[in-house]
Amino acid sequence: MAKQNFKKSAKPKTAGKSAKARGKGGGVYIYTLVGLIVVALMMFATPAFVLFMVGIVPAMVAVVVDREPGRNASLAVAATNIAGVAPFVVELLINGPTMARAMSMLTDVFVLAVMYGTAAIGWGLVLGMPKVAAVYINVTNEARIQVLRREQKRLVDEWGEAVKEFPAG
Amino acid sequence: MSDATMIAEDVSAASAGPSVAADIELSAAEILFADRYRIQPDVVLPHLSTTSARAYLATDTSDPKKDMYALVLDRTGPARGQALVTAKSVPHDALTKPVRWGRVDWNEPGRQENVIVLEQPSGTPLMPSLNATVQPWTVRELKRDLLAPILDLIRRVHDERLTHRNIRPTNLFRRASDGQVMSGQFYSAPAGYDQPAMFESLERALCPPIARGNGDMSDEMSAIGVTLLILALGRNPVAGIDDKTLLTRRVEVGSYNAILGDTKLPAELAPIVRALMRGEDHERWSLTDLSNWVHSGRVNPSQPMPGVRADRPFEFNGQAAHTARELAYILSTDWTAAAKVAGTETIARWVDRSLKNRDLAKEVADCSLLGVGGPRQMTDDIRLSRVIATLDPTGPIRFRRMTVMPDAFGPAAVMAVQDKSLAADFTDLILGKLMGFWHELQLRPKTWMVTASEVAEKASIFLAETGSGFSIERCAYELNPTLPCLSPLVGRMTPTQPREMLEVIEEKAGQGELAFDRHIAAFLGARINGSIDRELGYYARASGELLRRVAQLRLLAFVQSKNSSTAAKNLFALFLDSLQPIFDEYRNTRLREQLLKDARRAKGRGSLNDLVRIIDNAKTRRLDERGFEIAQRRQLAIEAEVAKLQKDETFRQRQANRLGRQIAANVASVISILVLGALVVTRMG
Repeated sequence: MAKQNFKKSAKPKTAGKSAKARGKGGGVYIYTLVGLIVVALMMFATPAFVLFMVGIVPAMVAVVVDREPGRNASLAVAATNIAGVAPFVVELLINGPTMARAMSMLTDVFVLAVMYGTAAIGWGLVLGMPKVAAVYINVTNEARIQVLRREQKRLVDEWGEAVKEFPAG
Repeated sequence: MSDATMIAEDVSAASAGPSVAADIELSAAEILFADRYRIQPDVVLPHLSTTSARAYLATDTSDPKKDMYALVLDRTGPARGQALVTAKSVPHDALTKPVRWGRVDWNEPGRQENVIVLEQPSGTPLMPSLNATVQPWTVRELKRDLLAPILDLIRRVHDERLTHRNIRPTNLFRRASDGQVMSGQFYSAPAGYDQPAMFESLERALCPPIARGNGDMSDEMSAIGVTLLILALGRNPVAGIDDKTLLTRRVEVGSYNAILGDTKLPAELAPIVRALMRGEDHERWSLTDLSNWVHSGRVNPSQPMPGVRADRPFEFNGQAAHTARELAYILSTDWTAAAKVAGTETIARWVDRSLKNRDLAKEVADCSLLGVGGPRQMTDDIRLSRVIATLDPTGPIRFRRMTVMPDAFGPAAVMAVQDKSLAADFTDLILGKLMGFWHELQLRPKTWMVTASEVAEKASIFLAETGSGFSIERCAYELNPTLPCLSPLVGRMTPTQPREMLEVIEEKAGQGELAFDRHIAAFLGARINGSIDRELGYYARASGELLRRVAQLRLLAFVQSKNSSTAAKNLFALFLDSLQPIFDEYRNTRLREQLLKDARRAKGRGSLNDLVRIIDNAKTRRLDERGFEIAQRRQLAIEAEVAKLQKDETFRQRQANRLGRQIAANVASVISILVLGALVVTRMG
């Protein structure tokens, strides 16, 4: 019994640890990538860096508020946020990264709406997908229950009603 | 080879041979035996019938001129199987030899009889009955026509290690052709069974007919002596006297004086008859003595030792005993009262003071001592039996109501098995080690006594166990190889072999009845080749109807396996029906159905071993039990998993949350990569 308890408690611990490790690994990668971009922008195109930093505020907020293991919410928000910021940063870099242009873009509602809107899409995904997943899990659970019930019926058919009794010993 | 086997071989040989039955036209009442002998059940031959067997006219279809007869044996008694087998090959024309023997279906449905077919003696019996009067025989006639052939016959019979034990005027026949006497049969019953007590030596006459034993030459001489006496007189001098009175007189005055009384024998014959009828067997004339007298007139001059008579009689129950033998006899007539007397020193004192035999008195006093080979505890009955044996050491063993010569334990067991109170007496007699005590008392041990001790030892093994298949029934069948099964369940059938028994059980099974009881179990235990004690032990230990049925099946399957030619389809079906609950004990329904299917398929073969293998297979049963346990655990695990899936909402929510966020991250990453990819392509391009 103690052994079983030990096993039961040990199993989720191991799973959590590996998920944490996976999340940590993915996070490091993302953060390294973002870090490189940020450093490169800061050194070679400060206006673009400013635009980028203002643009990814929702992602930074997400990173701060997301305490879930694996930080999937931060990843989702950051990914969509970067997808919304990147076109404007690229455009600024191509057209000449001046502070004036950068400020002009930062004051453009459309630009802000796109950058923050994409971050909102990320949040939308983070908030919406668990519901979809719940439906999916319910469906798979029901299917699993059906399979198990069928197996139970087969056992009763094969061994009689007595098979439902608690085994001796 | 056992007697029973020989009997069975004879019958099977008859039925296995080329069948001529189809060519023989039988009248309605006739019975055909061994495809050759017609038995006419409505023609009884009284002069050839005995107390144990009825004689019927029979004809040999291969030689209709030959006068034959068939003896139908008493189904409750054993025939002398060894005598049958041996006598067939004794080349002596003074012997009525058996021609064929075995089991025959009688002319009534469901009735079988064991019969012996013999040639009819070619003359009339010397006396039609023992109450008849005939022309007295002269000494010359007795010597030439009776003793010459009969003594030669007895010598031949004894050379074959047999005893005749059936010599009397009604079983001796005078051939019409040459006037010589020939003997009738002596096979149909245990030795001495058909003899009136007067023809038996005194010690054997004290026993009931079935318990007189095979005896030896001295017993033959005694019977010849009485036969000579009657033939010389032409009548039976004690025809009107009942056996008990005659027996008492024989004990008191000796056999010769008791039987002859005031009648006078020819002077030449009197000493001969007296010498043949002496009370002590070692003092009786031997075959050589008698042959010498017959052929050369020489007379053995030895005289018997005069018996010691007490000057003061021993009074018991209004009877007076003057000799030790007389005392033994009167003590045995009232066992309960005698047991009390034997517990005192009265007898030893009388022997010491009145018989003046101090050694015998000490022996009587020592009867209370257990001794090395004695019983576990001394009882009044054992003490009295020992006292009687000590007083009359050549006499039979007497124990309560049982009086038996030690060489008659086999037939005595048959008597005991048919009478519950005698069964207890017989069992206590054997387990009380009285045979060993009796044997030690013998001053002149004989070969048969050793055999008798071995028989008693063998009997004690079976009597020590009380379970079905052992006890007194097993003892009776073990010690009497020709005894048919005495079970009331076999009805009027007479199975003497396991194969025949199985046929009877199979026939009964066809009527929906399982014929199986203690008798049948013991019969099979005794008759089967190889040891069946494991199956019998299983049967004895089986508790509950179902387990007993399984044990019966195993036992009968073993019997069938030893007699593989006998199919038992009815029995198979009966067991299959009654053992249905055994199939239900299997947990796995598919296995159960498969086993039932196998069993039904095997029914056609009628092999009980197949059924045993199907229902009593330990491996299958173990697998079934193990499978059931696994299924139970699996069932439990499923129940737990379903409960978890249905009831643990928090877990489900957490799972959905985690999965949803993972999906969101993946989708967002894909979108991001696509956007960045598109951006790179459009700007770079």
